[in-house]
Amino acid sequence: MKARRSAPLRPLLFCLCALLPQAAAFGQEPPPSGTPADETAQRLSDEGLEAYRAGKYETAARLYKQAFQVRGDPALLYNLARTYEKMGKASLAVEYYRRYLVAEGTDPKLRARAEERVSSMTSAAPPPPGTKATKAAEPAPPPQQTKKPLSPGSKLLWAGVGLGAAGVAGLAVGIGLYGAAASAYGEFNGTTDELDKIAARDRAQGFAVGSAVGYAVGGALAAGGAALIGVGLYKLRGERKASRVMILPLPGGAAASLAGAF
Amino acid sequence: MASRTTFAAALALHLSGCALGFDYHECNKDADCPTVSGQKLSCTSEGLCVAGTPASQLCTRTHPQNPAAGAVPIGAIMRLSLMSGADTFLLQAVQLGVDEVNSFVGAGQRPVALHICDSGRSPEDASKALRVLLSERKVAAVVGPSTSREALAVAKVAGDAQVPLVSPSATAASLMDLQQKDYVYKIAPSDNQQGPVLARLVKERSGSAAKVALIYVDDAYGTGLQGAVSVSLPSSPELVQSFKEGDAKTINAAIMAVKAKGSALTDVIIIANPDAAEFARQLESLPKPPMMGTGGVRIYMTDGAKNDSLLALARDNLPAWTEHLRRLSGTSPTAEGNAYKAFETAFRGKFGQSPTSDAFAPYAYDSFYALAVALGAGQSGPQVAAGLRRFTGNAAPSAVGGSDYLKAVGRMEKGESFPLSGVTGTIRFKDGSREGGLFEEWSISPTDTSKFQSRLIQ
Repeated sequence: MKARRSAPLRPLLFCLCALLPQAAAFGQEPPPSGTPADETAQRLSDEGLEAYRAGKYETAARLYKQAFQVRGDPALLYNLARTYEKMGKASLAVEYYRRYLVAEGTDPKLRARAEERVSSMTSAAPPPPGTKATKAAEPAPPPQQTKKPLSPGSKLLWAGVGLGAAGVAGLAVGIGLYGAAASAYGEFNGTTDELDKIAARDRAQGFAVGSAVGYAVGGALAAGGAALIGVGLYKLRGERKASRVMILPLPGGAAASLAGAF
Repeated sequence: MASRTTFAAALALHLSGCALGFDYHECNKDADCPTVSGQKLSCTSEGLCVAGTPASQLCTRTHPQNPAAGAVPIGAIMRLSLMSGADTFLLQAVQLGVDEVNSFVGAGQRPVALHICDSGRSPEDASKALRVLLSERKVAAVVGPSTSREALAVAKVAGDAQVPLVSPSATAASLMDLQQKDYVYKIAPSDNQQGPVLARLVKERSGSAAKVALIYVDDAYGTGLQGAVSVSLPSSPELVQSFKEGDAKTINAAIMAVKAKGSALTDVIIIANPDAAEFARQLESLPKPPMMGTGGVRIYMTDGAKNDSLLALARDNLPAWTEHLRRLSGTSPTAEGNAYKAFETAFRGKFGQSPTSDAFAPYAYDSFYALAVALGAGQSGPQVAAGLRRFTGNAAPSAVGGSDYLKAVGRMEKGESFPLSGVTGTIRFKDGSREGGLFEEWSISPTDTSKFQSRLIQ
């Protein structure tokens, strides 16, 4: 079963794993997206990254675990693996890489790197604890900052708003040109001078065509925008309602996973 | 949201439908058009009800018919429909000049294309014709219009567009008062010069005791010339009365006033353009001067009357009118000399008739040449106007026609100022008016009514 990663504005996938040492919240309901808990997870993740960059790997590992408890984003598993690798704890690093590999919704590039690191660390002798990894064992990228992409519904919504705004602008241009055409038509009717009359007629016709084009293009854009907004809202509504329980096959046993969109 | 979108779409369709649905077709024929401010509107080929003559009927020809590529567009505004084509001779004179200039294209000169417009039925039509020449034909300069009234009516349009006009036959002194004098030129001598010449004729024939009736057309030409004549007469006129051009009521009123004075008059001066023939016809009954001695009423006309319609009237009434024609004469700007004779010969060779039927035909020829030489200063309106202003000073003149034309253009290109030696004499402009000029006394030949006879008045 494929977990849906999309949620209104902030997708969230979380996993409650029996195998996770700190997973004290087994069976816990995932926090909704955009909640204070979600923001806490983001903050912990950012602090973890900061600690990692500062070389404070113990702190980074602790913060990443806390973040994962709050929000089960698989990217945090990858980050923990990288942190343990930096700490020279190869077995823990491999474990977390593997857990990342079996998690749903992972990034293909990171998966490739995780597989490479697992392969590298399981075939080579683990370095002594506390020592840094060799240069050959360094290709793995630094931990990734977790980003929450817009959901398809949100994208549609915003695209619709943009299109609708362009449509309204087009309609406004059409109305403006209609006013100019009506004014020129008034001049056409108000003069008996042939050349002035012809000039006014040509202006009025030009404005009328411009007005019609403005209306047509503006109307089409507005209608398209409205349709996109409607579809986007429908999708968002569906995303809020969708939630389901899933079983993740994880190394060392099965884990219950609850995936939902909020 | 859906309902708002639907509303917006409906509004858009409604409004765009309105703008595209504006009706621009007003008529299929003249009868469909209303009368506005006392003027019956005309229906154009585009279905528009408009004042005056439709533009499509005004500017219909070019000369040559198929102009060469890159030809410089020059406009001509002439009376081609009014009075059965009163300015036909003027136009032919201009066409003669165009053909001569275009024969020099191989000598490094750019060809010229003449865009010909009718001045229609009114000064407003002449103005419309000029606007067509400016907006559609992009002319650099215009020969015409031919009457003072039309020249005054179009002056602002020409000034605003900065395109010079050279009128071959407008003579009103008031043209010198225009703000647009940089762009309105008259090549014929001013009425301020013709007035004293006409008064002198009256004085020679009737003495200082002359009793004069002065009838004039109520426009810039008539009013200006009437004033110039009045102040030069030996005594105040017995009768001064105006009429409106083409208006039978005021024309008949003037004729009746003259007839009422009858034998109390010695001289009647008629200042008219197309209506001169009607005055000549109706004043035939006035007492005629005897072959010898005094008595009777002499009739004088002006340059505007010297045209083919007067000849036709005389031709139709011979021999009964022999005496009447003998007492009818007029004054007009004229031309003489070898250059004029060469022009007359070329004109007769090209069109099979003498240009002498219209006093202003040689002036039209010179008008075109003045513009053609001024084009040497540049081909934009202001440049051509600047070129016209350089026809001044006391340097040796350059002649028009033949290879002399190329020399004149060369001097213009060098930035020289010099007088132009035309077929009507030496041309110098000051404030848009020509300095100097020759006059003649013309009359209809009693034996050959196909032509005028004339004598130079010094």
